[in-house]
Amino acid sequence: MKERSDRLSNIQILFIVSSTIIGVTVLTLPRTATELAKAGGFIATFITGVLMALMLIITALLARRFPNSTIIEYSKEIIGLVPAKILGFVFFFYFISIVTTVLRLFCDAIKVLLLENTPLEVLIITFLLAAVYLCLNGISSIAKICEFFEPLVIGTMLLVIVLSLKNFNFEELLPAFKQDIFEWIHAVPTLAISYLGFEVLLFITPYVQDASKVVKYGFCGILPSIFIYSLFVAVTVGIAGVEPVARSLYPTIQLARYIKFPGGFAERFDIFFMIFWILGAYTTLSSYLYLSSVSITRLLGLRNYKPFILLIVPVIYMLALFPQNVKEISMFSQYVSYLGLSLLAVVVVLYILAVILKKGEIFKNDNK
Amino acid sequence: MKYINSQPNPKNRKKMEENNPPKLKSEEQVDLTLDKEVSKNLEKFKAFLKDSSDVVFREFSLGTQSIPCALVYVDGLVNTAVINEQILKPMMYQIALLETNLNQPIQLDKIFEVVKLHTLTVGEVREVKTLDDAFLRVLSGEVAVIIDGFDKILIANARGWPQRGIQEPPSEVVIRGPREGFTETLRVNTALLRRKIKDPNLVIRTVQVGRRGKTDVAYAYIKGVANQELVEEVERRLNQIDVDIFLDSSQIEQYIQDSYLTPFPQIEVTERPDKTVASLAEGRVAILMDNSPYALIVPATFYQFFQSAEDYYERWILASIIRLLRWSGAIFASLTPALYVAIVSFHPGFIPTNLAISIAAARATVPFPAFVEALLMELTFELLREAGARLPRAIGQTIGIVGGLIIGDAAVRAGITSPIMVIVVAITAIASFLIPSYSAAMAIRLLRFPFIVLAAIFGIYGVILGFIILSVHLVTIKSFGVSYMTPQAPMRYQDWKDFFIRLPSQVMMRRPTSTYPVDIDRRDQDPIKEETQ
Repeated sequence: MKERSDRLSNIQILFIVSSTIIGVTVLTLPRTATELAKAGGFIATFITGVLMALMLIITALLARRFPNSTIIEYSKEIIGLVPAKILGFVFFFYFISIVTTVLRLFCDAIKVLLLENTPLEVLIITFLLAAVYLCLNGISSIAKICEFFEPLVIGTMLLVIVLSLKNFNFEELLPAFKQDIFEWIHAVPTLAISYLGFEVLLFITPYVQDASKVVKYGFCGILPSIFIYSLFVAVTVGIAGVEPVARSLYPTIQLARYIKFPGGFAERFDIFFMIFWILGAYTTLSSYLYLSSVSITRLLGLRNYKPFILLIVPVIYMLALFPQNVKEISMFSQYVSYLGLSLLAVVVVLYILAVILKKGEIFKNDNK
Repeated sequence: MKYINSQPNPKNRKKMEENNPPKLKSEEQVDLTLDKEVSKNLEKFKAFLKDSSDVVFREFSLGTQSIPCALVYVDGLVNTAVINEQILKPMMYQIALLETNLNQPIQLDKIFEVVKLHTLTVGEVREVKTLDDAFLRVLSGEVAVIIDGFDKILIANARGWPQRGIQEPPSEVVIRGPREGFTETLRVNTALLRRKIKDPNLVIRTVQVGRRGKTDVAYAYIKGVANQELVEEVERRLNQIDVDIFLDSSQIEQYIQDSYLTPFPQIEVTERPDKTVASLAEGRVAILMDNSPYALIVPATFYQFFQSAEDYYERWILASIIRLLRWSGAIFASLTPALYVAIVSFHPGFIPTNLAISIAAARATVPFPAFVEALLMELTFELLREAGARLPRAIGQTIGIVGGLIIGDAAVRAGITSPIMVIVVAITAIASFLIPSYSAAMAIRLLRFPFIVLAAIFGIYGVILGFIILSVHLVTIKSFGVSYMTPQAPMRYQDWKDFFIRLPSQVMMRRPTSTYPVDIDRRDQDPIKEETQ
């Protein structure tokens, strides 16, 4: 019996999007937000989320117009062969960079928080190979893993937030309402990296059951991240205050550390949180690894992406070891974030062109 | 007949010729078509069976005209009372009475029909026209009645052999619920199913599996509930098995499962007719094999191995709590020793300070690292379990005492292990026995060894890495086209009613969607279905 769900269901679209978005940056997001927007970090995070949700809708609309191909193919239809190839290559380059960033940020955090004496190389190799194992099993397995892990990840994060509310001090957040709106806007480009991940929509439409639902379920996919991120920033600041959060390396872990495990079973809630955060990071890394191999495969006009995973893994490994310190990593991630945003701008342009040139399919009654 | 005519596998022919088996006389001479003469037909049977002492050839004459006849049957597989009273007596004696009463002998060319229609007072009688069929029938316990002048044979069913009665299934005991279990006889097992479903749509089809064993394998499903594609897939997989002898349904399982590269069972096995029928009602297919008291149920998903028949006989709240207990049992059984190793050697800060101090104090005298300690104790436990499993009950108790003393007391006093480790081993052991399915429990219990190794290398991170790899492995498994982790991945909310918890039966009116049943609703009238029409 052939299972009819080998194609991705609507729920799976939701989970792929949300688990690609929620990942490594949860640990550092409150610091970045607070550094840039002070007490108004949570508002800036929320605004970024809303803006990114709009971008997601445009991305999904573009993807929906071409349900049978990925952006690598249909960009040819819109902007011609050579620019499309260049765009495809930029996408590939972007995915490689973001895999590297995610991997390096993850392994650094593991090294600092859990395994101080383990060499970074070992951590990178093990985690990368675990992601390779998943990617070799195809997109439907990735979707299933996202479905499996994401409720656990989101659940734990909400649990951390709820359990921290005991020490929450609303006064710490009050200065936010005296802030200038530009202070928030100014933080948007840097915070946007935390919301990147919905580019996956541009590549999975050929595998979904019902492409007309991509917009709706993709949009639902970004909602958990908006709420969890904003709450995390608000709660960390509300508990520790602006200055300590801005100076802390992993403020979310700090937050979890304040929690007393109910029943006194465990001393440190942060390890418990780490466990589920690893799952979140894993889904993010796997989707991006899949995307990078699929993008290069499609760029070369081939179908079987699996050999390419094995080809790009050494490249990612070497790139991940390249930055020497935390500062270089954050610079690197900054640049990846800008690259991602500019690619999103290109997506918007592509969408507008597609609408003007009347390319692709048009769904009319989609809100059923 | 296949084993007379069949050519050996061309790959093996050379080897067979080298071994140069002495050629059977029968293999060279016997013509497989039936003859009209009794003696010649009998010769053909004897060519194969005369060396076997359990085969009976009985020659006799029929009626007043003394037509030569013969019976061929296997002693021990037949009910001799039936042969004496229902076959031999009417043919040898009563038919002669009939002829004298009518005052005319029966016409020779009609004798076959007369015997079939008037003489044999046996329920199941059929004609066979080839020696092949006749052999299969005789060897599976039926009686061949050969009559002179006809190139066909009457087969009368007089099966009767010593068999185990219906007993309480030892591997799936319930407190409340039916206590009958399958036996080794296929017909008894199918009868147990029939007794529970009196719907003509219950289909029980039989195929013969095994080149030499010719074992009857029946697969049962409810037409109109089970998905036709699934039934066809089962049929296809059963038909492509090509091995000579099968001893138990577990061997069938190995040939029809999706993948052998996994420790997890992909087919559910049960001894309970009620569980089998419940699965049929969920749109699954049950495979029963003669000589095996275990039914195979396909497709199977991971969560099924945490269900017990009793869940559905007990009140739903209690059943739900017990089921949650089983799930936590699975987690404990696979992860406790690994977490112990990870926490003791990498993250002692994770547990409360007092506990960490008392663990450290207890471990102060232990000469090994936590990894070796855990491995040693878990291995000892597995040794004891395996030793106890196959021993006669009287000696088994000795193992219990020795195990209790070694694991419990002596090892701690000798300073080989810490008391905490003993507790960890005990929790693992008890937790693993919470899982109702034996094979799933074994797979889960064995997982703790790789987890211990990963924990020893990478601490908590290693445990999570192991969990990730295990999850990826689980989601890639399929059982007859159904994802193993349904309804969790892929998500099917409708099926969550019977997943971690069991909701009241009134709520579970729909069948599980993971088997793609044709008829989704259990009720006669489905209010939702009617609304949409």
